Amino acid sequence: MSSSTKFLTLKTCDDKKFVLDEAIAVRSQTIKNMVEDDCVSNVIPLPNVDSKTMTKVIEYWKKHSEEGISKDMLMDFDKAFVKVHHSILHALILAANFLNDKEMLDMMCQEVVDRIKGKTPEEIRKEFDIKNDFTPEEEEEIRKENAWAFE
Amino acid sequence: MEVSTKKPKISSTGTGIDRISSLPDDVLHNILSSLFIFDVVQLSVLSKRWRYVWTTMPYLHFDIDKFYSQRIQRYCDFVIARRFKDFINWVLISQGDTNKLVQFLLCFDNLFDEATILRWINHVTTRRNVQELVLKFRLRKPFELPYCLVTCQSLQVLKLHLSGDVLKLPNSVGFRQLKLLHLEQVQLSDKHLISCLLSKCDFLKTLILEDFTVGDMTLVDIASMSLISVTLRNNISKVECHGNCEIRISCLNLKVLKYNAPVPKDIVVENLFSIEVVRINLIDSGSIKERSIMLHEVIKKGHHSTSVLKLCMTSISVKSSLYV
Repeated sequence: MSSSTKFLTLKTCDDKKFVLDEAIAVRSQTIKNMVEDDCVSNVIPLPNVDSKTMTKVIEYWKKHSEEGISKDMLMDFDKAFVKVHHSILHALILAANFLNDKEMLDMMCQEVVDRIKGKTPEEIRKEFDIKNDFTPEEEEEIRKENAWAFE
Repeated sequence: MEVSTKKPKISSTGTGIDRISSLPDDVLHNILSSLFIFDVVQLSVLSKRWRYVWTTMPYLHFDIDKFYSQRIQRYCDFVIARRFKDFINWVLISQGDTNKLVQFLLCFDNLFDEATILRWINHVTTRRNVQELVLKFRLRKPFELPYCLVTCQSLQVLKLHLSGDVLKLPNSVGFRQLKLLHLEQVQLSDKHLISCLLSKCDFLKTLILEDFTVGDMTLVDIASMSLISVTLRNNISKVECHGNCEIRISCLNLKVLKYNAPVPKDIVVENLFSIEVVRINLIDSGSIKERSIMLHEVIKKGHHSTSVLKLCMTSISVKSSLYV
């Protein structure tokens, strides 16, 4: 990577543009591949990410690219970063998946798992607004099939 | 998290809308990949969407300890073993043959016999194209790697923990795609075992031998063209047990060598043309305190003058310019 700063322009699905240091943007393997394959003209379109989500992603990327930042500070940042409503979590997971940022994706996935672990089915449904759409007969059937887990 | 009483409406942050369930299967599987499979199966009670998520999970983690402690603590070993086995078979049957397995992890101590283990290994290697296999068990007798395992074309990562049992190889070894081999608490019985293994692994990049024992072997021979990283780590063996064994490492493309174990008879490292990091920590037989010799980035890439690095118990010498 050359020492002179190069900027990339990212365009989200709602037509907002973000100008970003290339060295930071290549945290996304998807963008990195595009840069390396030289198929970047002026603007990189991100058809699967909206501007609100991209703002959060860039906030994360910038913090994790800060020079001299301590591990503890990053941990505090990450902890606060994932404490969002599940709809934002969902958008960030899709964005991290599309941008192919494994570190960020793993962190968001871990947060979902942490919200599932140790909870009853009813608590999990409440956490993620999941509707129980089983008929009583189906529910009974699953309960029998999984008898080993409920006894 | 409170549930909003507002009517659900379409908006990017609308509360009350179940968005997690709309994630694609592969993303959901990724999220659930850190859970044990019985926890994933239990999520099938959530809704119709979640009922069958586990049936296509490419990550299957079975661990008897977790199964035991969380669910059926009050039963004896025999009942637990039977239920655990039933559960594994139920999951494998439900998943069918069509989905490839990314990761299969199986830990069960000594509860099953060899035939049962072989059936599962055979299933995941020949029917499910497993990429990463993690096995931890104890047979209390030598374990020979099954033919279906060593010839598995899809296997990239193999981690094997035998709780001290002897490891044996079948006559024919394949391992075409293997990239990482991690042997833990394995007794190496035959001096040809490692060299025989390595000679057939053309793509092996990483070798880790952890808490291994060498029996009365006099040579551990690690020679490979493909290996990038070799780690020998041993914290549990008695310090005298490596005393008669020579460790010989000859890997043209080796970049990282880590040795943290009792003092062997000799460590001979040849052909270090690509070496970047050498970290050798000999656990001394004389006293409990460790005698550390850290050679960190001593021999950088390009310093071709060093072709042999020999470490003995009493003296350490770097012989240079022998053949270059």
